Amino acid sequence: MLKRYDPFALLALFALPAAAAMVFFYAPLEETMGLVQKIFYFHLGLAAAAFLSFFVACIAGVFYLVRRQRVWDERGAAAIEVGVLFTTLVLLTGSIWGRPIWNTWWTWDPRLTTSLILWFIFTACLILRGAVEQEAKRAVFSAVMAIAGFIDVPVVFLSARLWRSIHPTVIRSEGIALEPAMLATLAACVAAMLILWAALFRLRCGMQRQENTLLDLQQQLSR
Amino acid sequence: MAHTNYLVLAYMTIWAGLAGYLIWISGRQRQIAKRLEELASRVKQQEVQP
Repeated sequence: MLKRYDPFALLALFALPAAAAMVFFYAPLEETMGLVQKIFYFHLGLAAAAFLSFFVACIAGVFYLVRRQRVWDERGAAAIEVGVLFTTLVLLTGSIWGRPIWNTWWTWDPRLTTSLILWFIFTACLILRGAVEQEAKRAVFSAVMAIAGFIDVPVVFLSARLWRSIHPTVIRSEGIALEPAMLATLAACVAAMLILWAALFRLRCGMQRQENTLLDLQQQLSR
Repeated sequence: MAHTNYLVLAYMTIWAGLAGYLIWISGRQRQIAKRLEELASRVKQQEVQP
């Protein structure tokens, strides 16, 4: 239920179809992989949004531990949830892309393994949030897990360079290894996914705030 | 074209995943609205019968 007046939601409604159109009608066909390579654009866009989400969750965690304000827990919870959604989609699209290219749905490659670990950390964080009833305790656990879990993000990013990996690396120390039309399409997809992330994050923050207000009112009434 | 089914499957996964999340969120939003209505009626009752 995206708010009609949310600028990011409105922007996402235009940006996502535009990015998809660029993928299918503008980006050239990759010579080796062919049509299936077109998964890459949204796969990387989703990954960028997931990384941003976990970065925001980490920052929100730090702010919560320092200031102990509820708003930072709400932001952290929203970022973790949206981040888990995007990471799930990254893992699924990666697996679907890997099947015709590597001839397997899954391989214990460093990039894939560290990404799966990231998904496990933040999914565990979500489960923990659902299991702990005491609000302050839940917020502290969640903040600490988000900060600790974020350590895995640079590991995921650098894994294909640090260890022997079959996962392709686009962003290298020499620059981005893509031709201009592919790079423009990739930029459009990353931008579209970041806009969608912002819309979902704002929506979840608002809902989290409403849920907390409701709980407060219920507690006041039951006294 | 080779591997077209994988491309379709990948994009279907993305849109289905995002749509599923939005449906789940809207369900949760409806629950909040319902709870808010219940709460408002309880407050009204308490005001009538102090």
